[in-house]
Parts: sequence; structure tokens; C-alpha cells
Amino acid sequence: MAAVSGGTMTDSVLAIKNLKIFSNENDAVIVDGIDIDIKNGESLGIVGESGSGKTLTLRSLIGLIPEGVHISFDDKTDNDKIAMIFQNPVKALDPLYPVVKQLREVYLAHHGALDAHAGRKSIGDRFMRLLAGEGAKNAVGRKKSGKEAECDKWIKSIMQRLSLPEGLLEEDRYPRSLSGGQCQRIGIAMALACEPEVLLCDEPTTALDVTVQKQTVELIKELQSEYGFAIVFVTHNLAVASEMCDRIMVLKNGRIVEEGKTSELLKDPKDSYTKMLVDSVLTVPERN
Amino acid sequence: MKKLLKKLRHSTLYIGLIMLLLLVIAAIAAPYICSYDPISQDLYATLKAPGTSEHILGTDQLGRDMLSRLLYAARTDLAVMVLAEIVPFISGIFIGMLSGYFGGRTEWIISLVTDTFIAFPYYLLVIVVAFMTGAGIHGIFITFMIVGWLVYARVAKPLTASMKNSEWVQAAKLMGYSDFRIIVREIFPNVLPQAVVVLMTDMAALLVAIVTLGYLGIGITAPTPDWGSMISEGQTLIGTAPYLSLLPGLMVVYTGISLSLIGDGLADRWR
Amino acid sequence: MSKLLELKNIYASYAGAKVLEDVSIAIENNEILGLVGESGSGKSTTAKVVTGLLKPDSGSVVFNGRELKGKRDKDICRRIQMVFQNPEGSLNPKHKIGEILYDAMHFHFRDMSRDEIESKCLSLIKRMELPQDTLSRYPKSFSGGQKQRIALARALCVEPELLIADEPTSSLDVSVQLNMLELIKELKEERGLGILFISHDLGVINYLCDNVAVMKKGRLVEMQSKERFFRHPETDYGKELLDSVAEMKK
Repeated sequence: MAAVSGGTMTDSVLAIKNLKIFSNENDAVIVDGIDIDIKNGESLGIVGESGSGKTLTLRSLIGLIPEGVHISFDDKTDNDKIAMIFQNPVKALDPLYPVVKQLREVYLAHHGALDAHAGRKSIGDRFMRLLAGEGAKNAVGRKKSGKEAECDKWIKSIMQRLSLPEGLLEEDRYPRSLSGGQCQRIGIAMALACEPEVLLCDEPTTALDVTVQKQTVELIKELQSEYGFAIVFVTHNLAVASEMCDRIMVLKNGRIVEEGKTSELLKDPKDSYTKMLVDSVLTVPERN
Repeated sequence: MKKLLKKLRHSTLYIGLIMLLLLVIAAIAAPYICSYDPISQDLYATLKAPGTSEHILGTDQLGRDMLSRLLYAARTDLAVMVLAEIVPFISGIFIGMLSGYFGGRTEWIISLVTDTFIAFPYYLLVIVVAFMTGAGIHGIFITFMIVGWLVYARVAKPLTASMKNSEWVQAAKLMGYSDFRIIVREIFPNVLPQAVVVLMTDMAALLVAIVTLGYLGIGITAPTPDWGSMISEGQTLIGTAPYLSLLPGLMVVYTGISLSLIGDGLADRWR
Repeated sequence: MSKLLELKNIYASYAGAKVLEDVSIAIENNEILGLVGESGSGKSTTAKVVTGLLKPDSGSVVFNGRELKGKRDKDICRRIQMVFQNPEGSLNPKHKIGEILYDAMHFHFRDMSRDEIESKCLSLIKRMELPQDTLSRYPKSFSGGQKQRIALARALCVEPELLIADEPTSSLDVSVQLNMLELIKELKEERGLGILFISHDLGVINYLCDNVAVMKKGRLVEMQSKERFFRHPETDYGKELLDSVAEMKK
């Protein structure tokens, strides 16, 4: 197991020492003592095949631990400002609400302005407020609060930045009527709404078409240099990791097999498993 | 504690099976276990309470031995329950599979039939059949054959429809297998487990129906012992000799619980 | 000499929507044709038309010079086989592997004795590098990679002439993928198969295929030998696809 790269835990934006993940069923060890230390603005790639524990490790960093599993660790540098984007972009969004509405909700929740007024205006909601003596006019149409106006402005600019169709602002649509790439960009917008210091990415391009994958990776890199957040990028694809990350950590069966700077790791892999992964990447010949 | 509850959950199947097995063995071995004949009357030994005489479970108002009546009634009731299920079970699954596999017009026609038959109230139908053909076991069989298959068709159809597009069915088609062969040899083994789970609860419900009809006097008729008619005969003496109605009632509950446990246990296992 | 398989001007639709428009493709004996495209390109639908699982609206499917119309007979079915993308769904969970292979061979080779079939099953399992006890086990006891090799065994046990492989390695781990591709290459040489290999991964296509056909939105946009395609794609879309391949920056 490789040592953690220099610097103390205190200038990390997110770190965990000796992370272990167990299955609830027979206390089987899924992840056996991993150290992760992410510094401000860096990109760490976590590469592994199925069963390596990479996704569970990522989820442990943000506390999204699934049922049937429990974790333990020695030390953790926590951070409120973490956001995550997921592998299946369409399924990562609530299918019952249109996308801009969901985005608005995330923005307002993060900025502490989410309450019955800003949230979902259900019939039950309105009825309750009528009973509370607010009067029909108040329950149905009000002037927007300051935060809401800010939110609208922000949404307009982020949708432009992410090349999402302007038409969504007038006519909001459901996740299922958008493409995978578009849903992933909504997911990215939601992540940005939280002003993250760390962006966790769980194989966000695997389910996308090849041409869209490239656009998405480029977009994330651009946003990283604009906003300055750190990235933890989980993938099984070494080539994508090499495009995205300055540091790569190779996982196998819940253990770190090798860790180091991308260029060094790929040029001169020390572990045989890493070497196997590097050799298994099928390349495309040079073009004229 | 957690582990104990887990073990208990896993053993529902075995508890149910053991319970049912005990009953079935007792019923089959009735002629050898019972020292008395279920229909012979002994007017010198009427209404003996359980445990007070040589009759372990007592006698009824005609001096007939309760234990042998209960066990012989088990033979009748359980046999009818199982036999009546055979045709509806097989035909229901088959009809459901046809509907799910072919879709289109076949599904439309079968759905029409299913929706029509679902509207038939079972008990009313049995009474009508009983009036037309006279009381007796055949009424139960006929009625159940008319409506019993519906539950199984309803289980088989969506299962089959979802399997139709799976790769292993496509592979079977590519192999050149006929539709009939695919339905029977590929799809049926995957539908059977769910159907069996439904069978358990369906049998419990059918048993209650058989017993109710016996109680009403239009199902299994005297002199054949039947839990339902035993309950009805014991009704008038419920104050003084409650065991006359209680014991057959408990038998029904016991059987129902054992079938339910088996059904639950199987469902858990095959999830 | 006629080609192994030809699709001529195929138009096809699925659930009311047009999926294939004027698609014409040819595969020779002993050739691996790679079919590339993104989602919605129609590559899986093309596979369905070739195998007969989907009837085209117009156009013809010609196999060894004979047009295939209507329901295909047993022998034609045997000669065109397929391996699917999802290893979890490829095998009937209620059948043992031995049953699956035996039934298929017995169905097509009526005059083969039981012993002959059994020994062929065993040698096939061995060739696929599967464990010795494979035939007596159920599918759920195997890994994804093993399931795919079993699916391949099933496809090959009836001695087909044309094999359609629909993204057979996409759901597999990288370490297992290369193994499977090598196996496919070897088997093609051994048996003189024609293979239609569908994939979205250009690295895999480059490794395995002799020729490349590119599909976009239900149309065939480019068809070339592998060498020409990768060095000098003709269409803009072909160039776009090649540009999107993630490269390992060493």
C-alpha cells in the first residue's frame, strides 16, 4: 500500500485515514484500510474493476453509504462543501419533477431560502395556507423573495454556460425527455449550485455516448479551472482517468495497489496489476 | 437477538412443511390410528368430552368418535382441495403464458375473457351450480374449474411478458426452437415458482370455501365426514359442548396457517 | 462466389418509429466486420434484422446467395447465431449449462449419438477455458466473463457460419475483455466464421476487425477497411468519433 503524498491533513480539503468498509451480512471486508487525502484544487482518479470497492469508497467520502454495509475509519477531515455527480444521469434526477424546478430547489436549499413558499406548490400546500388565513391571493401568486430572484439569475447564467437549451426556462421538461448528456449537465449544475470545494464523480461518463463523453470530460475540466474545486474521479477506464486526473490511485479487491502521479504511473507502472490494466487499454492508431 | 429473528424468518418454510406433513400423515394413516369408525354411532356414549373416556377427543351427539371424524374429514377436505386445484392451476398458467408471450390479438382476447370471469362471485356461482346439479362435491369442482384458473393466469401473464424480451428467450428463438417449445421448456420453469407460491394461499382460500359450503349444507354431504358439516352440527350445542364445533374449526385454521407459512417461506426463498 | 451475408436497402421501424433507413451491408466468409455507432444509430436493430428477430419494412436479407423471407427454417437458424451484450440475461437461469448445450446440439444434429454430443460439449467447454464442472452447474454460479464465454459456446456448438456479436465485452472488466477478444479472434480462424461485431469502443474495433462500418441515426455513413478508416476517415462523423476516443497520456 502506497504512502499518502506529502503535506499534513490540515491543508486537505477532504481526507480519510484507514477507511474500512464491511458487509453487514457476515462482516466481510469489502474495503480494507484506504487512505485518501485530497488537496485544494487537485484531481484524483480512483481506478479499479468491478468489486474493487471504488464506488463504495467514493460514497463513504460524502456519507452516502448504502444499506447492508457499514464503515469505520481512524480520522476524517470533513467538508460540508462536497457535491457529487452520478453514473446514470437520468436516474440521478427525480423522475416526477421537471429539471429546472429540481435545480431551483437545490440552489435555494443550499442558500438557506428553501421553505414552503419556495418549494413545491402542491394543492395540499396551498390549501393549508388558505386555512391558515393567508388569503387566496397570497397562496396562489406572490412577489418573489430576494433569494429567489438571485436564483433565477444564477440558473439563467449556468444554463448558458453549460449549453443547456434556453427553452427549458420557459417550458420546463422532465428528465426522461432529455438526453443522457443533458441530464448529466443538469447534474453538474446542481453540483455547482452547492459551491463545492470538492466534486466527487462516480463514473459520470460511462453511460454516455462516446462523443458526449469527451464533451463532458472537457466541460468538467474547464469548470475546475474556473471554480477551483478539487475532483475525485472514479472510473474503470484508465484512459479517461489519465485525461482527467493528475494523480491516480489503483484499487483492487478493496486495497490500494498503486498510487502516484498520472504520467509516472502510466509510463512506469510498478505493480503487475497496474501494468496489466495499462496493457489492456486498446488503442487507436495514429491518424494522418 | 438479530440472528435469532433471522433464523426464525428462514424457518417459516420448514415449520409450515412440518405442520402440513404431520396433518397429511395423520390423515393418510387414519384407518390405522383410529380405533373407531367415523360413522358408527354409539348411543350409549354420546357427548363424551375430550379426555374423559376411551375416545381421546370425545364423541358427538350421536356417539361418533371425534378423532376419527376429524381425521376422515381431513382426508375428504384435503383431497378435494388438492384435486380441485389441478386443472385450474395448469390451465391458468398456460393461458397466462400464451397471453404474455404472444401479446397482440391473443392477449386482447384472453384479457377480455379474464376480465369477464373476474366479475363472477365465487360463492354465488357455487350456489347456482348446486341448485342446478344438486349439492355435492361436483359443485365445487365445476365452479372452481370455471373461475379458479384466473389467479394463475394473472400471475403468469406479466411474468411471461417480461421474460419475452430477455436475451435467453431471443437466443432460444435464434436456435430455431418453436414457440410452443419455448413456452413450455424455457419460460414455464421460470413461472412455476411464483405460481406455486400463489397456489399455497389459493389452496387455503379454497379450503375455507369447501368448509363453508359444507357448513351451509350444499358442499360435501352426509354421511361423508367434513369439517364444515361438523361445525354446523355442533352449532346448537356450542354452549354445552363447544369442542364439537371448535375442533374442526381449529383444524381449518391449522391447515390454513401451515399453507400460508409454506407460501411465505417459498416466496422468501425464491426472491 | 456469393457473399456470406448481404443486407440490401433495408428499411426498418420499431414501435412506430423509423429506425433503419436504406442500410446495405455485406459480410464475407472469414471476415470480421465492425459496426460502430452511438445510441440511436440503429446498430442493434441491424443485428436484429440479420438474425431475423425483426422483420424489415422493405429491402432484402441475402444469406449465401439465398434471400431469406418470412419464417426461417431450422437449418438457417443454426447457421446464424448471436452473442448478446448483457451476460446476466443471456442464459436461462433454470437450465444447467449441460442441458443448454446438449439440447441445442441434439435439436440440430439428429444423427449424433448421446456420447458424441457429450464429448463435443466437454471439448467446447475446455476450449472456452471454463472450469471442468461447468456442464453440471447453473448460470448464476458463474461470473460475467464466464457467462459470456458460455454464451459463446452455445452460439458455436451448432457450428454456425455467421456470428453476430452485439457488444459482447462492454459489460466486462478490462482484464477479462482482452481475453475474450483474443478467443473470438482464434475461433474465427479455426472455424472460418464470418462475424458482425457491434461495438461503440473504437479501440476494440481496431483490435479485432478487418473492416469498419459506421452508422448514424439509422443510416450507414461510412464503410471501409480498418486501416483506411483509422488513418483517414472519409466522413466528418467518422472523424468526430475518432477524435472522441480517450487517449492515454503517457
